[in-house]
Amino acid sequence: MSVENTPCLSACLSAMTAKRAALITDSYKVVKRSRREEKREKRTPSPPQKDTEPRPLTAREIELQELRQFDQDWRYGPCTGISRLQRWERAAQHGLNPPQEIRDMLLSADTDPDYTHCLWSDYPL
Amino acid sequence: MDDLYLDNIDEFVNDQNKIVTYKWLSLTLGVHVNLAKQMLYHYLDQKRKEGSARLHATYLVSGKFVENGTTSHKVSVVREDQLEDAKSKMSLTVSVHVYSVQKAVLKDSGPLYSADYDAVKENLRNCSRYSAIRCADAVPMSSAEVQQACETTQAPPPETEQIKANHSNLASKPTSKQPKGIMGMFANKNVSKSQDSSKEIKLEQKEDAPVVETSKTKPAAKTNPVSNFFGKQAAKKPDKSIKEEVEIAQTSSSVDEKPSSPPPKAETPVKEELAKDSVVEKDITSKTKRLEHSDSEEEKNESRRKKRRRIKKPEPDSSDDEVIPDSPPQLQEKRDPSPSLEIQVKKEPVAVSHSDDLSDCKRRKRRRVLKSRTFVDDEGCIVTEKGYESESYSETEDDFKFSKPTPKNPNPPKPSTGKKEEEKRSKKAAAASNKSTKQASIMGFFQKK
Amino acid sequence: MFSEVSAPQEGSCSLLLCRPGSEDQEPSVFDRVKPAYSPCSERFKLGERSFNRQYAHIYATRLMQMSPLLTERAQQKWGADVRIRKLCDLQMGEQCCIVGTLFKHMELQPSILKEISEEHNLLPQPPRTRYISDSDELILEDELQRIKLEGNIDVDKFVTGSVIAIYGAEKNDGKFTVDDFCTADLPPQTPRTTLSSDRFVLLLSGLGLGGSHADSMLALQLLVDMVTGHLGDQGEQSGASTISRVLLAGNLLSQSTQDKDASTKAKYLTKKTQAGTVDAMRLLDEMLMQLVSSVPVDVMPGQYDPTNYTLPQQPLHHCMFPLSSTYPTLLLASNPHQATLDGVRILGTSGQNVKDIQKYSSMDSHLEILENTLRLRHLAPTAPDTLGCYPFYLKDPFILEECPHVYFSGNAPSYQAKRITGAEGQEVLLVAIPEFSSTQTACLINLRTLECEPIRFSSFSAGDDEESEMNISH
Repeated sequence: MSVENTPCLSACLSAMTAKRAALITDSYKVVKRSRREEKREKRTPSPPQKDTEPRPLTAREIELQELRQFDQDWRYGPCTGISRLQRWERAAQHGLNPPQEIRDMLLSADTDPDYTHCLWSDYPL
Repeated sequence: MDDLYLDNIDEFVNDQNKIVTYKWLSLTLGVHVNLAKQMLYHYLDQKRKEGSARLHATYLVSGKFVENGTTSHKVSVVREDQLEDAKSKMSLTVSVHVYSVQKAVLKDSGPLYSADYDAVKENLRNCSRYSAIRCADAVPMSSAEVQQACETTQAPPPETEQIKANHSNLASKPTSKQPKGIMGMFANKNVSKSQDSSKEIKLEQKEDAPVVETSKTKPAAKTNPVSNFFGKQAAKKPDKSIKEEVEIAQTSSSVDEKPSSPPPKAETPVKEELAKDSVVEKDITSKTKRLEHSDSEEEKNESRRKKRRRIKKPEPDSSDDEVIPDSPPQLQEKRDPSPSLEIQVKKEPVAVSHSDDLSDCKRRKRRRVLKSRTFVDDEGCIVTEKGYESESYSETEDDFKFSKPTPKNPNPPKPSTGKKEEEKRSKKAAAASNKSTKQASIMGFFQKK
Repeated sequence: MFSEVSAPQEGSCSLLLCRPGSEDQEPSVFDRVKPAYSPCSERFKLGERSFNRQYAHIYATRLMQMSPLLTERAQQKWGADVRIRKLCDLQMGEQCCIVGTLFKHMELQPSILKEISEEHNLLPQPPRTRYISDSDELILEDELQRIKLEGNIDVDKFVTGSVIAIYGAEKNDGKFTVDDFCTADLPPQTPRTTLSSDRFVLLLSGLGLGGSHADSMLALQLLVDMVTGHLGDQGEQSGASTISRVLLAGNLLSQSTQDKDASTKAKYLTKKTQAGTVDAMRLLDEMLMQLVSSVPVDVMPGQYDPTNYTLPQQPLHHCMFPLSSTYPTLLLASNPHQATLDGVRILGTSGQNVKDIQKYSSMDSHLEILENTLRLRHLAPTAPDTLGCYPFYLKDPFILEECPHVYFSGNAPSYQAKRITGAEGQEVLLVAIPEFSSTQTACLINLRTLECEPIRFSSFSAGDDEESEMNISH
């Protein structure tokens, strides 16, 4: 499995960049890497499609969107392999001040896998 | 009385030709080590004065030793002729005493270690009795205390449970939507190429037919791809193949070697089952078994669940004992991989014959089976022993045992359990057994030599 | 040091070289000193063992934990107004400071991917003792990006996984020219309590039981007898009673007990063969039995001992010690191990971390490497890259949060010890514990003075005369 592989520091990076460009620009500064983004876009297998049609977002969708933003915030480290709450708590433990409302959201829906697990949890490691 | 020990030492050294070290002497005579050292010196001194026998001695010299500017404390054992030299090299001599006395001259110091070894080993339980240091803390614990200490050290940190829960959560979530990782792979394959792999499964079923009964009891049908698989297979196979099997039973006389020959990979899941079973009573499985376990949390959790259910599991009965003329009483202790399994085994469904002519061709055989027993030994450790034992069995019982599980139970020893679960299990049993009948042909092919 | 403590009073030296009972005295018995002891290895114990995470988490959390420390160091070193940049904000030519994790790109580093892709036309690489070469390059990674380093930084001295701060500027070619760098340096230290009397702790490693070093068995027995108060004069015995603890730092068993065939042979062929470790463990249990009946012992596992291979190694299972585990004085510890003994904080490993760094850097002396890891404030920077390690995600337990007073590593080729003093007055004794089976040497540390001294055991061998005597004791 994934354990004894030679670790790669950049594994976290690739995980973070593998996302729709529109969202990425929200949390990443655009620095001379737009071309790479496109390339990745093509190669990455698309995740199970969620809502695509432009209709008013429900409260749940808004929350999920916020959570996905949280997933993509590089300051809190890689998000695959651990739950969102674990990631939040790690960030809090190391003094990175993750937003409190994320934690509230996660605690309020602690059984819903869409809430508890990060965006990429559907992909095998 | 005073000098009695001199005669003793003399006997050890001269008559028994022993290497007498101070420690050996101390343990043998039951005297303080320092006293033993003095005794040896006294003996040596006396003999030297008498000038009688030729004796050789080794000395222990310790002290401060300076070499290349580094100071160290040095402890050395030297021959008598090196004694003065060794002492002169020490910048501060801390102790000098006789280490051993022996008749022969020692070429090297190796024998000095072996000279003490047996005596030390015999006196391990009170090896510090005659030493000059007493340690108040070093009091052996009673076995109860040991147990307790072990438990506390082995107990996982409290937060583990929660993390585990988290994890199983994590792991199970994807399966609900879309199978993930390795499990996912298996699931897919099961669907896609069940035909190919059915061969392996067949092997497994046939070889360990009696043990498969444990796996059929898996309640978590949906979570386990393997059992799923059985189910599917069973659905496909009709009961037709019983006849085939009988033929094999008749023809292959080498059948009896079958269970003892180490089966290929297929054994793994079976072992796992056994391991889980024995866990029911003992918390600690043997190491070897644990190796077989997958580390995945999911599986662990699953096994835990299974364990709990198994305890109160009522077995589909053995109603038709009397129907089979040949069915021997030995059948009952036929296979008990571990004592904890025994109850279950006893209630295990007994072969049911379909027609009378089948029972005719039953034969009694002896075979060797690998059994493992788990027990607590006198030191309080849980030991699992594996060994081959021969036992008698009737040939057909394997083949028919599961061909028709009887759902009703004439002598119900069961505690109250969910009927549904039981039913499910027996259905599954039926499934598994139906399949097992089919594999006979392939196995038979392998058996013939 | 120990010799002086044990030195006899004048005149009583030859007490044992006389006839017994002449003064009709009861042989004196000394009480073992009782130290205040508390193990603090909790951080090295694994509760859950989940292997479905990637190692990216360790590096991420390591950087998270270390970067505030390094930021502070950088400001101390280069002024409070030094510009600290992320790599993505880097401006060409601007003098600034960057905190990140080093990655050393090494041509010679064995890689399974390389082996697979090249196996068609290449002979297997011969195993090396060192993997450094002239073409090695240092790369600094922060959370998002990486940059090649050049300039005032010694490539061979650094290893992958170290978190440092560098100061310099990015040049036109996209490489970063390093003017200066700094490490996290020694963590803060709790002052140790002053002891009124001499107390010792005996450090020992590399017993190598079950190996071919038969001659070291007598030496080991001498050591046991010395510690348990059998050996020597009364002075020595009273000295030995001040040894408050014995610490075994790994490799209790010899490498030769590891059956190389076991992994290649089919399982059913080896079913009935007994593992080589079984006898060796029995021997160890007997030896420990003698020790624990007289002195508290901490047993750490090492590279060749029967426990998990990856760091942190978990304590050996008590089932393997049916005799000695009945004593409360036996403590089966993890590797790395940390404990406080009479107010002296002791931390160390069985030596895997040091040996691994030795392979991937130009540093040779175990003591130097040990000091280096202390200054990097990280026990095992090369884990998980070249050293097996559990995939932690919440916290990197190998980061030193508190400065130990004694920092050791086991299984060194020879005894070395040194005291260093940190910038904030931290006092640390570094000890490389030699492998006992080849050197017959252990270390005694005086907890009162933090002095360390080797203690050697020697015996004689065939054809022994002056020279070989010297050889044994070298």
